[in-house]
Amino acid sequence: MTQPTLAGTTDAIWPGFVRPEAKMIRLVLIDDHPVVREGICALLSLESDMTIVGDAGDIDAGIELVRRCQPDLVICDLTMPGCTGDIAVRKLCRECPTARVLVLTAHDALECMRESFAAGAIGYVRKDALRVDLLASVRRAAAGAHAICRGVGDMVMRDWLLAPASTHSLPETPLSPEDRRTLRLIALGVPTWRIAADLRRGVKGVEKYRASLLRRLNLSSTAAVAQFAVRCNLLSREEVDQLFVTE
Amino acid sequence: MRILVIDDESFVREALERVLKSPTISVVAAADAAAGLAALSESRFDLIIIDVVLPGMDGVAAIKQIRRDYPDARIIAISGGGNFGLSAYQPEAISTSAYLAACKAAGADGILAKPFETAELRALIGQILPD
Repeated sequence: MTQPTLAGTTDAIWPGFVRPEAKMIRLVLIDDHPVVREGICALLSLESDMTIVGDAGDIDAGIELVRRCQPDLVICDLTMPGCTGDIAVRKLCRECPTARVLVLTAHDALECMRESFAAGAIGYVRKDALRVDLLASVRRAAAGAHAICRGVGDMVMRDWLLAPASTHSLPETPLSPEDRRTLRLIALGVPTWRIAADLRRGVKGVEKYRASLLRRLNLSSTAAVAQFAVRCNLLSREEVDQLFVTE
Repeated sequence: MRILVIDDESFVREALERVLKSPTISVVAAADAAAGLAALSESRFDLIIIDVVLPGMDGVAAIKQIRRDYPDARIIAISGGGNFGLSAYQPEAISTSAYLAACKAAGADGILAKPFETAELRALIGQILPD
């Protein structure tokens, strides 16, 4: 009997097809509730492609851990000891700017979600979400894509649909085709050097142009540009789906 | 058979007593882990049914201690995700799955998400205590 083809070897039926080796997702968990931490660790450890490289009960210990372990993704509660009056993700993203942070919280206010993404979070999952939502969000966020759970997706969609009609229209400041194209690319998370290549302009010139454009439109973050782009219909439906995927 | 129920919600304690009690089964109820551990130190139980979110010591820590002090104890962990009241239980939620996974890792023989039907509990007890 023929043995099943192993990952990484050439397939007999599809000679050109080589299944990519599954990459282990290295995670750090920061949550001040020991039982929650223990539970989430136990839950994620059941997944063959995930490993918890460390967990911490406060934000300062968490930052140290992230610096030391350089995980693929940090799962962090929103409010933590050591962040009086502020959200933990802001401090974490400020101290570890290259870390990908998925917020896992019981807080379900839209403002918390907005603040988290503005602070640099890559995902937001509520603790009352389904287990499959968390697993899918961890995989997406670890790969660098925005991720939210179904409940958050529903809230964002409801908020967007119920927003006053005027906020959906284009701003009074006229946008040139180049402005619209650039805003779309920023919203999609395209790096400046690629935007420069797309616009056939130099990187430094595009950096200045980008800064001036965002200043003119009063947009202070990529998340704000994404929101603006959605409201001004600068993105296709597929691109909006890519931007905030609800698993 | 003697069953110890540890749950801080009185309606859960009362309901479990009501459905489990019989001429051959006696049920003792405790409202927190400390009271449960005290009951265990005083007499032997064939089965312990324990909630996760409890005042003081949580259910996971209690299971670890029970497993250490009474290695032969049979334990069923129950959780509704830390949300109190039948209407707020979220059996499919991350919190429920996480709590129950922690209980399993701590040494629980069986786990059950609240709300559960009496038949599910009886079936689990039957698996854990076949005699």
